Amino acid sequence: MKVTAKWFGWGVAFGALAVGMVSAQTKGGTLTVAQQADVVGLDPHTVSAYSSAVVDEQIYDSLLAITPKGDVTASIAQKWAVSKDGLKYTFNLRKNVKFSDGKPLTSKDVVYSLMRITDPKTASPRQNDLGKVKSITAPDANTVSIVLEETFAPFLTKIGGTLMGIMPEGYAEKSDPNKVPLGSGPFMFVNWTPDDNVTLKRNPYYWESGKPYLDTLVFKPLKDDTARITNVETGNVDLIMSVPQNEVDRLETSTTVKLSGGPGTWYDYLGLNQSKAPFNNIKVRQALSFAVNRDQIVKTAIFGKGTVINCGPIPPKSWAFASCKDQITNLEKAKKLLAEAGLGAGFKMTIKVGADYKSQVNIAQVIQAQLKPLKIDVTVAPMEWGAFLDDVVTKGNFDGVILGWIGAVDPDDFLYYQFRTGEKFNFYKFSDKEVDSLLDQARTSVDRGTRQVLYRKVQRLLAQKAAYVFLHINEQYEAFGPQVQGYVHYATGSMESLKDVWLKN
Amino acid sequence: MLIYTFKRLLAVIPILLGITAVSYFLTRTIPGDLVAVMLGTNTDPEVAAQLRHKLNLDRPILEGYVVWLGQLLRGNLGESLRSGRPIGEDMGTRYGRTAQLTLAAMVLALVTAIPLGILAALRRNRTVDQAISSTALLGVSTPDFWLAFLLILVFAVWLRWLPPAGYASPLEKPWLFLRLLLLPALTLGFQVTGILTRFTRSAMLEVLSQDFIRTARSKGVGERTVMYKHALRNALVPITTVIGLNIGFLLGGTVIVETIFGWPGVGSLAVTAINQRDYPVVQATVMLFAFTFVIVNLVVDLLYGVIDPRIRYG
Repeated sequence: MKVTAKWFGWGVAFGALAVGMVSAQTKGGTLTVAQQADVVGLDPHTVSAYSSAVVDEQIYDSLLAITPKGDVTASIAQKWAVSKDGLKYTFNLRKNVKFSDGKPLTSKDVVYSLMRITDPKTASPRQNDLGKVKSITAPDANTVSIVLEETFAPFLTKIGGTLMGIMPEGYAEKSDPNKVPLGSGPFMFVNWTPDDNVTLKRNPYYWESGKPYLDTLVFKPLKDDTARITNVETGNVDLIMSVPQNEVDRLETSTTVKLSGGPGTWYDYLGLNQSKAPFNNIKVRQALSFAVNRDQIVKTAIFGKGTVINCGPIPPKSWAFASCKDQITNLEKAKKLLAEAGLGAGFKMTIKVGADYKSQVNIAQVIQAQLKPLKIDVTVAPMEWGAFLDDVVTKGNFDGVILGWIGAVDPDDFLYYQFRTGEKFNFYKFSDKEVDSLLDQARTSVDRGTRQVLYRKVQRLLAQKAAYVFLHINEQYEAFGPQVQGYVHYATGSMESLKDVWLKN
Repeated sequence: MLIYTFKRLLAVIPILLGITAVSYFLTRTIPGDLVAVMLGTNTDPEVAAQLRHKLNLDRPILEGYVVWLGQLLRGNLGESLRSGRPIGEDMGTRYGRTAQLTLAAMVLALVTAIPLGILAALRRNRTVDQAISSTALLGVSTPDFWLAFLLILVFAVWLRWLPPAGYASPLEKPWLFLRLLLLPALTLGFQVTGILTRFTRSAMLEVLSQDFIRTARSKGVGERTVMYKHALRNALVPITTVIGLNIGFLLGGTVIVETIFGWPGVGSLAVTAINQRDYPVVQATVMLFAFTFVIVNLVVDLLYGVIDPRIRYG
């Protein structure tokens, strides 16, 4: 039986290979991609906007890359090794890598780029992403060695992030990478007309042989959801990002447009201000968590395009997913908890939400209705995004918010800064000693098995203590015309797949 | 006339100065700043402080105003905080595109509204008048964002006659430019067409009821001459005022219309800049809109004298 299965597997593999050879990818052509927002700068080390990041990842390579499923894989670095104490990382660079101006990429360029990111003068949003870096050195032209002061488990996924791009040594001093980026990625920069388009062309020196297939890649901003959809349906653009959830079902049956997507790393939650009453009372938070009906929210607020989460924020596909069912609907329990907290008669609260994020406004409204049986009188306050951030992030002036978080790859990214006492993204002032210590341990142990146990424990605690009222993971989709071939959706939102895309005539 | 023009031009200066103060201080008092919006919920306080320092956002507001005004007087609009690009350069190209759109909308409005308004006045209270007046009312009350989507749906999605959105240079691709221009210009001009039609009708009716028209008719002047030489000419003074005021309305409308149709002009720039708290860009767009409005109204004032020789300025 085993042998048969094995041979059968080989057969499938050869078959796939044969099919791959028959439908050979054609080279050439222009692919136009419409995004939701304008590109606001192209320096990979300083940009923070998603719209800029997806362009930069076409132009730049990082030491490592992340697969569509979120695993670390080789890129510019062909091999890498970690010392036993988890403090020293050594990267062996691929030898044939060249920048798009034809000059070879060496370890000096890597050292320069990583030093630039970690230098406070650059004010990079990612300056602390690599943990506490002691030194970045280049023992020889093809080796880079990084030493950390303390072990930092997410290090490899962080250094493989698309915005850890490598630029030529001294490039930022000679020229302005924010306007004229230069990297070793599959495409090279041609032109940027703000709010109109960014045009890239094939990098002739790209190291992955035969790729990319496209001659030209154009990114255009089309902010309006309807405009973006109309444009791809009429063939005006080839591919659109950020397909609104309410359009997914209609487009799935469309004959002119194809969809690619699924559950990503973006989850929504109800955050409660735990620095004030009554939300500093764990029973009140638990009551809210039991009163909320997550299935109904997914069905009505996000048109069924989501997966309910009952135990912490990490998506089911991740190795650190926790499967406990501590956050579920139980109205009786909710009422009882609220009575125990002395609030059986209910109370008033405001839920603030970014007005531009329509799905989150919907969620707030559904929750408003769902909390009525507890006699909680919810006011939904949709706010302009800048004003919302000022209130919530800067001033801490709110009762509750509906907000999302788009995690990267490592579980640490979903948990550490959000839930550890006093950390920078802990806007809700959650504080728990056990959680703190578990998060510290998980961050500093390199063994995945150990980390898995720790993260499951942490998430269970977060769910039980209702650090957030966790709601669901969103599905994200891209839509494209039938001429677009080979496109793969990344759960992380990355558009790296464009180097594998080709156009059918 | 020359002295009057000069006086009017001088009066523009304090107005513009006032606008600089309003646009600067209003922009700065919106809650949330550029750095907060840039970093969003991922705001690392350490990075935020570094960025604020780098972008001079940690300086006192009044000091910032003086520096900005000084730059402005030297003709320097500064750089976008978000993209680092010189604003003057970007604004130049964008202003041209907004002007194309606004002018096209105005021309569309004029060529339909004035004849329709006259016709309605001539056929007062008859079926033609009622049809025109109710259509004009519809025009006045149709929100542009709704009309925009309706037009896209009908002409781009169902009929596929026109592209749904985008921009092309009129010099490089004149045909595509016109096809792209039509829907936003229609959307933008629709309301103004309504306003102008109604206004032309009432202005004409008012003039037609005056004594000199009866005199003209009674001395045997042909109806055509009465209409165009006597009535229309007199009705044009209030109509011109309304046109001038509506240029401002159109400029305001570009903010929405440009955003929907992906027309890369000043209007869509203003939206982005406000959302991102890109202060110098917001200030520059407000200044530019206000400046255009002031100049257009100055021109309208001066046109009065040309249209109606009785209006003389001392």
